[in-house]
Amino acid sequence: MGCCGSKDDDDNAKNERSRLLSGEGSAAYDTSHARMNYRYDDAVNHTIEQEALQKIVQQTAENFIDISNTHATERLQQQEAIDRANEYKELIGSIKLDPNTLQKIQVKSDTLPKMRHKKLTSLQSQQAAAQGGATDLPPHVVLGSGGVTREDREWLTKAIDEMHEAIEHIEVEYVGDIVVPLTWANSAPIHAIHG
Amino acid sequence: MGEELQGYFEKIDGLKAVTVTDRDGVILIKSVSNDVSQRVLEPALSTTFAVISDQASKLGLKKNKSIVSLFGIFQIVQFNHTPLITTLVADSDSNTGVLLDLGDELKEITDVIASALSDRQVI
Repeated sequence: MGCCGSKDDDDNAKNERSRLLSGEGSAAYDTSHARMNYRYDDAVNHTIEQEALQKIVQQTAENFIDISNTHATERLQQQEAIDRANEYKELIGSIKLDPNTLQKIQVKSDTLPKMRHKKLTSLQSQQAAAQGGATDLPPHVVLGSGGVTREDREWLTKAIDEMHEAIEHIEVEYVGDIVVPLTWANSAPIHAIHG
Repeated sequence: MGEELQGYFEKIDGLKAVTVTDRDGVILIKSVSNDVSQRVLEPALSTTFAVISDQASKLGLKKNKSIVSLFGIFQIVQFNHTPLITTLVADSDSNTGVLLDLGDELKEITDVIASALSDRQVI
């Protein structure tokens, strides 16, 4: 009566004899293969299995967080420590920090806010003098030349507190209305203006 | 090199000691303020940090860079500058952010030392 016609573009199902499940032939094939060479594969599989397990154990040990060693750390032997310290002293003595790095470090430590500076202006003028009298200081020098010291911060807080208190004590004396209503000609307020 | 480090004591409020050590606690560079005991140079500080930093790197947050330890009177900020360890000891109310920045700056110095160290060991 009816015809169910469907377009089947499936390349996999070429004919009625082709495999339904892909499986790439692995499972079925290997089992039969294993059955034929049973004893040989058993040994190989065992080794492979052992290696895999060993790998798992190793990975677990690497990822395992264990801090019990902090107590068990051996203290370095006195003599070895002394020898090493001397070695290091020699090493440090022999290192010459290349001038760029040195300059970078010194500039950075200079731009940290100083703890005890009093006047910003005097510092700026010092740096200006150091730069050979240049009056235009580059931004990073100006911005980095001084910070807010602890003393300044405390002074500022104190000053603000005092100002706040002063404002609280401002008193307003009433001298008249701020808002005055305007009315037309014959009424008092505008009449007063024309008069 | 300790002299350059000495400059930082005047700049950073509360900084007491700066040391660069290896992972066994042997000191390479140190700069200690006058008003603190020599016990801050204890090698155990570095050895413990070395172990803990390694373990902390397994937390799944990539490699551990620094650890801040706060105590009653002091704070200790330590940096993992493999193969060296930088330790800063300061008052507990010091600005930890400034100390962390300082450690990053000092990395430039420790990198130089570390490469000199590895060159030497090759020889």
